[in-house]
Amino acid sequence: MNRNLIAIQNTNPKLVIALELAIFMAFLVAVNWLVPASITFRTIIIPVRVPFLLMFVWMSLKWRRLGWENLGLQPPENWLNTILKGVGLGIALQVLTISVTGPIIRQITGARQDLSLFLNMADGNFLALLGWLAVSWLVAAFGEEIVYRGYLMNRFGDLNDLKPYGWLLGLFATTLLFGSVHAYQGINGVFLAGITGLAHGIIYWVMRRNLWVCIICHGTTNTLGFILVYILLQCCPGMVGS
Amino acid sequence: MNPRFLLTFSLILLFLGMILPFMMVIRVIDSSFFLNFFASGASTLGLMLGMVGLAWWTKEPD
Repeated sequence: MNRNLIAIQNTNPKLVIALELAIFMAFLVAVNWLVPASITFRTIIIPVRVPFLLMFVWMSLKWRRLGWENLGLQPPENWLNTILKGVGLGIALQVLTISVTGPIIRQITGARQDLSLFLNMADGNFLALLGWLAVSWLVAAFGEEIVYRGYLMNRFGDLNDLKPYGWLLGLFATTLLFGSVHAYQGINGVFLAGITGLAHGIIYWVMRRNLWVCIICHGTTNTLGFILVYILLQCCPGMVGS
Repeated sequence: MNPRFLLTFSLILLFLGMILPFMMVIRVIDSSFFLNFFASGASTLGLMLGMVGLAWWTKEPD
């Protein structure tokens, strides 16, 4: 039986999926605008919201009598191979961002990535770096990958009967959303995050929906990024900021 | 109350949760603690009511 039809007795399954996606994406967009709008609690908005998003994903899976493994979180056959792939891709993606996509986007937009949210790492605040690394692995790597790649891409696929164009639509939508959620990093950050999101979506697809590779890749990219920002803040703080 | 009402209400709350911060960003309205808190609460409540409404709607008997 089609997994979309399970537990849906009277309603049009596609309408339910479309509504589910609309509610979920409306919440993501709301969070996206709340970060730059908020003065008082902008740093905690995203970490606080991720559990709500994960709860929604969990409920969506429960309705369909599915589990986290259906999003690609099943234990891989070879952990070492998965970790090596994730770390390798993460390093490659960060190198590509620093040496190719970053300079090109900076040239086009004429703006630098706004990293002012992370300025608490200045003056050698190593604890702040550790805090951001923890947030980066828990919220960004696990949370965002489950939400964007695991849930949204699959749900867009479901909406289009798992046909290739459905996945492409999902890839396109998650790229746009992932980019726009990073609006607090300025226009440069939006484009860079969009490209990173696109790369993660392609990795998820190429790795046959193995979310672990995406999680490790995302975590590695962010770890390298945070370490780089930390070093830059100590030696040449003028290079970090809007 | 029925699930359709709950879903409509949740969509209104989510719309408020989206439009209020957007208006603050484009400086149509001033950002304040109350408005931030209200927008944040509206979107969170909207998501939760949407979840419940959707689950209820799909299980609704004929």
